[in-house]
Amino acid sequence: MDSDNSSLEALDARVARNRRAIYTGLKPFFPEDELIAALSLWQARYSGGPAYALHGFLNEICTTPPLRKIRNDVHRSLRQALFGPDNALESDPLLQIERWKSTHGNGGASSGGNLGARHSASSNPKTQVFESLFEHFLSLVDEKQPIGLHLRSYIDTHLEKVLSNGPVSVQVSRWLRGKDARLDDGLDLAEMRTILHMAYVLACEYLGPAMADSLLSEAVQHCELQAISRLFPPRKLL
Amino acid sequence: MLLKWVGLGVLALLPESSYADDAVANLQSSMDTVWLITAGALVFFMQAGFALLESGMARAKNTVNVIMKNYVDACLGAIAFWMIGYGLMFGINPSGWFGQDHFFLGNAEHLDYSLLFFQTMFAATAATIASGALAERTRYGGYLIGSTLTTAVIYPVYGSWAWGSLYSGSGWLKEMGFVDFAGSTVVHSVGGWVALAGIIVLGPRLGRFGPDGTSRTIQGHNLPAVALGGFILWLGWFGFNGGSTAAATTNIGLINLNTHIAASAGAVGAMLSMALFGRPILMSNTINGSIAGLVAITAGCATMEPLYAMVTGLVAGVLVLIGGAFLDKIRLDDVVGAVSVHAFAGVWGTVAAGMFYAGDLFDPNRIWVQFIGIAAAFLWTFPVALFMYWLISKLFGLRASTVDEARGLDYTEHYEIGYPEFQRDMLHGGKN
Repeated sequence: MDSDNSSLEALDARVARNRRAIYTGLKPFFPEDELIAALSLWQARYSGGPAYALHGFLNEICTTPPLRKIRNDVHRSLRQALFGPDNALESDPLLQIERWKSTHGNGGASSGGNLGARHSASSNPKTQVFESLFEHFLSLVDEKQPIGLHLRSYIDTHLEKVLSNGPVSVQVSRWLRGKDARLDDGLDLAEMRTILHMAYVLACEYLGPAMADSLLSEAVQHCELQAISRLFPPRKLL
Repeated sequence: MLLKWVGLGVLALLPESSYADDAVANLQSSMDTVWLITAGALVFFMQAGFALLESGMARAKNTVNVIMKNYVDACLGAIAFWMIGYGLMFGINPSGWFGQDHFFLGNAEHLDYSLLFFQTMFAATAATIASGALAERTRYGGYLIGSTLTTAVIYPVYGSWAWGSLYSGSGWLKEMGFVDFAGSTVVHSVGGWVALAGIIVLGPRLGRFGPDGTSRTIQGHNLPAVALGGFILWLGWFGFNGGSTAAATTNIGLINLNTHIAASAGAVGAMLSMALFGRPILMSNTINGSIAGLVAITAGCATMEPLYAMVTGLVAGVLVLIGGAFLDKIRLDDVVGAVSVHAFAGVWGTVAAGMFYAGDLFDPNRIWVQFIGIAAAFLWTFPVALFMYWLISKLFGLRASTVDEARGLDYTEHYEIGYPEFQRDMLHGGKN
C-alpha cells in the first residue's frame, strides 16, 4: 500500500514537473488565454503519456498556417523546457488551468484544434468537424501550392449548383470568402461532402491525385486526433 | 506390354496395315489433344498475369476492381464465346465475312471441343486487354457489358476474316494470304483498338493531366505484382503461340524459341530507348517492352528465322515507349500502356510477319496484304467499339463519378478492399 502511494506521488510529481515545462515551453508563442487552453488540452489528453511524445499534441495546437510555420520552434522550446533544469521552469499553472476549466468546461479543453484558429460557432459536431477538416485540408494544399484562394473562389462560384437553400448558401459563401469567421449549422451531410469533394477534385487537378489523396488523408488524421471526432467521425465526410 | 509395342512396331512396318495407320493416327490425335488442352491452360493462366500486372499498375484502392474485371471477363467471355463467338468465328463461312453455325456447341467431335476450349482462352485474352487501359475510373457493370460484346461479336467477326472457318468456307483475308499465325492483329490489335476506343469515351482519370495539359504519372501500388504478372504472361505465351499449331508438331520448338527471343529483345529495346532518351530505366516500361515483343512475334513466330524474331521484338520494345509518349501528348490516359503494347506492337508484328517471311523475305505483295489486314482490323474494331462504349455510357453508365474515383472503386463497386490492414487512410465511415 505504501509503495502504491509512493508511486502515485512520484507520478503526480512527474506530471506537475512536465506541466510546468509545457507551460514554460509554450509561453513565448501563445497569448495567455490560448496558452491555458493548450495546457488544459495537454492535461486532459497527453499528461499520462511519455514526455517526449509531443507530435500529437503539437498537431492539435498548431492548426493555423502561422502556427504551423513556427511548429518546429515550439517543439524545440518544449524539449528544452522538458529536459532542461528545474530552476528554469515557470511555477505550476495548475490553479490557472482549474479556473479556466471551470469557465470553459472540459469539452473546450479537449478541443485543441480551436487554438489560434477560427472558433467554430456551431454546436453541431458534424459542422465543427467539417469546418476543421475543410480548413486543414486547404491549408495543407496551400502549403504545397498557393491555390487555397483559388479553391475557395471556385467553390464559392459553384455554390448555387450545390446548395438549394438560399440563406445557407449566402452564409457558406461569406464563410468561404473569410467574411464570416464561423460556419453556422445548416449544411446537411451530402452538401458538406460535395463541398469537400469539390476542393479535392481541384487539388487533384493542380497537385495530382496521389498528392491530393495524401493531403486529404493527413487532414482526416489530424481531425481524428480532436476530441470532437468522437462525436462525428471525419471519414463520414469523404 | 513390351509385346504390345513390339506388335505395334511390326504392324507399322507392314506396308498395307490399316491397323498400324489407325494406331499411329490415334496416338497423334491424342497427343494433339493433350498439347492443345495444355496450351489452352497456359493461355488461361495469362489471365492471372494480366490481373497481377494491371492491378499492380493501379493504385491500391482499385486493386479488387481490376482483378475482378480480369476474373469475371474470363467467365462471361467463356460463356459468350461458346454461345455466339465460336460460331461466328469458326462456323461454316460461305461468304468469307462470318461463320453461320456451331453456336452453343454440343454433340460435336472431340477435336471440336478441344479447339473451342483453346480458342475460348484467346477470346478472353482479347477482351481483357481493355481492362488495364480503362482501369481506375470505369464502372464495373459497364466494363463487363463491353467486354462480353467484344468476346461475342467484335473479336470473332474479325477472327473469321483472318483465320477462316474450321469446317467449310473461309475468311476473305485468309484467302488473300494474310499471315497472322497466333493473333498479333486478330487478338492483340483488336483488343488494343477496343481499349483505345474505351479510353477515348471514358476520358482521363482525375488529375492525370494538369490544368496546363502537362502529363502527370500516377504510380501503381505494387511493382512486384507487375513483375510477377510479366513473368506469368511470358510463360503463358508459350502456350499462346506454341498451341496455335493446334497439333503436337515439331515446329513448336522454333515457334517458342522465336517467342522467347522476341520477348527478350523487347525488354532490351525498351531499356535501350529509355537509356537513349536519358530517362531512368523503369521496370514497368521494361516489362511492357517484353510483352510488346511477345505481341509482335505472335503473327510471325512460325514463319520467320530467330534473327528476325529478335529484330521484331527489339523494334516492338522501342515502339512501346514512343506509343506511350504519343498517347500522353494527345492526353489519352492508358493506365497500363495497353494500346501501345497490344495495338501498336501488334501492328508492327503483323507487318514484320510479312517482311520477314522465311524463304520469301520482303515480298511487297505479302506486305501489302498485311497492311490490308491491319487496316481492316482497325476499321472494323475501332468504330464499332467506339459506338459500343458510347452506347454503354448513355444506357448504363461507363464512367465512375469523381466521388467514387476518390473513394476507390474497390469500395464503391465491390464494397470490399484489397488491403484492409494498411489501407485505412481514405476509407470513409460508410457508404451513405
